[in-house]
Amino acid sequence: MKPIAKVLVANRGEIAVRIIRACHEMGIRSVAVYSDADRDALHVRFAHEAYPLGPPEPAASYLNVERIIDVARSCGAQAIHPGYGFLAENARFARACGDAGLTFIGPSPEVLEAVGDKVRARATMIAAGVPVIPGTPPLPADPAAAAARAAEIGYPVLIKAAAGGGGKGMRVARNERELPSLLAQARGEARSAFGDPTLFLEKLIVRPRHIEVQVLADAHGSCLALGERECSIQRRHQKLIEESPSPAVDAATRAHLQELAVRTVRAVGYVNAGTVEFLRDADGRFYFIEVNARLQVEHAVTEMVTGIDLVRSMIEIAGGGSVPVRQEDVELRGHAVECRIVAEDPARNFLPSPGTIRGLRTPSGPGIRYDDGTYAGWTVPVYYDPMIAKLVAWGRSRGESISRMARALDELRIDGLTTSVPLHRKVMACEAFVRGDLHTGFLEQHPELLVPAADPWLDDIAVVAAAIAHFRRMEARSAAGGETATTAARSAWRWGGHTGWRG
Amino acid sequence: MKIAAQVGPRAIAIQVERDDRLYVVDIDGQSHVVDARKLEGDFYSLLTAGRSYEVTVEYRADAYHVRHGAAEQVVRLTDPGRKAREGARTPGPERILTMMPGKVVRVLVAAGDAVSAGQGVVVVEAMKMENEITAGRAGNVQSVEVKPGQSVEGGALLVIIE
Repeated sequence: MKPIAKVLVANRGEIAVRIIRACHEMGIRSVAVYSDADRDALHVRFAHEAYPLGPPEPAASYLNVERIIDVARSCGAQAIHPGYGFLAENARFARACGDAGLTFIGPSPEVLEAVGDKVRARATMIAAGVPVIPGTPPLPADPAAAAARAAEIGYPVLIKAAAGGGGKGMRVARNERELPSLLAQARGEARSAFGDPTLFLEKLIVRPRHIEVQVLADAHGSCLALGERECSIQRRHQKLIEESPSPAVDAATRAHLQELAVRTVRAVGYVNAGTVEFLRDADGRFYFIEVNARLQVEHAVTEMVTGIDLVRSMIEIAGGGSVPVRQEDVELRGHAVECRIVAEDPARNFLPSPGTIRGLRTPSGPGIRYDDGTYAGWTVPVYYDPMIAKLVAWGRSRGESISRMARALDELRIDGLTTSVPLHRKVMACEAFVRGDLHTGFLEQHPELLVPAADPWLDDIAVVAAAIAHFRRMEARSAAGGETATTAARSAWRWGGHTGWRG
Repeated sequence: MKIAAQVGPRAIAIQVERDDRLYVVDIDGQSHVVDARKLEGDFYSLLTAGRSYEVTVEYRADAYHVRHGAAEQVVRLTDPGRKAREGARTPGPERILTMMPGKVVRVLVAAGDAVSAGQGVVVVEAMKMENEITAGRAGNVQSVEVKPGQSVEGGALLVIIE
């Protein structure tokens, strides 16, 4: 294996910057690639070399396997780091790297295929003795036989149509008494919606918490479990706030989860960094969901509590090296929490809000880490994910990291975009969050967090600030020799109203 | 300078004068002497009566949006003279634009349809998500300028409402 002296980073945004930083700390030359929309992006400015990929659409740029491999070969890179998203879990890309003599910094194509196929992964985990969400094969028509199956997996159960989708034919049965009539309703609905009355049962996970274990495995047989992360604060089934350790996991539970995670990845011969995701039900039972065969967005909270640089470890392992420590030397110190800062408007159903960052002040000070790919004056492109930064806070206790996060969110100012910063700030002050009472429906349960708050402090000064801003604007306008043109054009987009105005 | 403004349901009479670097702001007869500095972007640092405030002030759609942390206060201008001047400049149909490029997924109205303020007219996909663009005011659809599947640039005209 050729030593890794130059790495191509096949990604963009904050994660490309994060990987480039690890390369530079290791004395490795970094190569950025960029779409036409990203010529001015920070990762292009940070890297030693940068090459264009093509048009902005991901299919023509960051998903363009042939072009990326061509760039890597012609610039003399030995390895490619895919980051997350885009080509990170793409077995065809991993295989194309190998065929071109390039090291793919991640698991092998065979492992990517084994964990990427959900049905196959579930079967593998059942065989390895890892608990999965209990379910049944298609039910017989006899209600008594169906009731016996339901009793096996335990109430409440979710009745689902085998041919289903879109909630049709779905019912929640809370006990044996209501099961027969609900089965009949679901069967009728399934027959009329899909022409197929076949039903099956799955255990309903009540108030689930999303808890996952970070693993790091090398090709020499070592596999580390680096504690857990809780990622229960989500919107649209995407994580918004993550933390490590989880307030719902004690030392004994952690040992059990870590053992399950190591068993899971060993079952598929996993090498490099990965994450095993579980759901925890209200009774404290854990169920395997899937393996994420890549670096996770939220890897930083694990780095903060373990002190292990996961990106550096990934590159070392891909180059034939070993995991950085022994399992018995892994120490989880304190607590870390991460807020994903997204250019979306939480008050308007998380409507995307791209635009130009007119002013930016990033937080710093004790225990704060801010990973981003932005700068003042940069325009957030509309083609890619709305996540623009990750704010991470560390403290000796969960209470300390939350208070640091709250303080850092007060310092963070991103002008020109509507972002999730106010939402994060309100979550940090939310009593249920501080108590650690989390589940994946948390934001639906607390809709008051989604809208801007009233604040007596602000009420006192807002009118004064607005009056002075207006005075200055009028003054500038008369100095410029008359009124500037405004436009009659309006749209519901929040930036639609200030077209042509630059203060 | 006299300003008529509204915060929520409350109408406010404001008078602002500048005295070198200080502003004297009278709000409903109560006077505030403010050392105000506009810093980078839309940040303002305000010192008044010994208290330090840092806020973001953004102007859009006839209103000042004042933010600090998780809080936002909207101060709407209601100056009648100003309304008359701007009103005179912006008569006629409303042109609904998309301010960002994307792809038209669905068109929800047709020419001749009556629409109400806030009603969705076109769905545009951008940043991997679908977004409904709404009418700013009530009226009748004069024309629809896009078709489903069409790519649109930032600033593209979608619908005209008369």
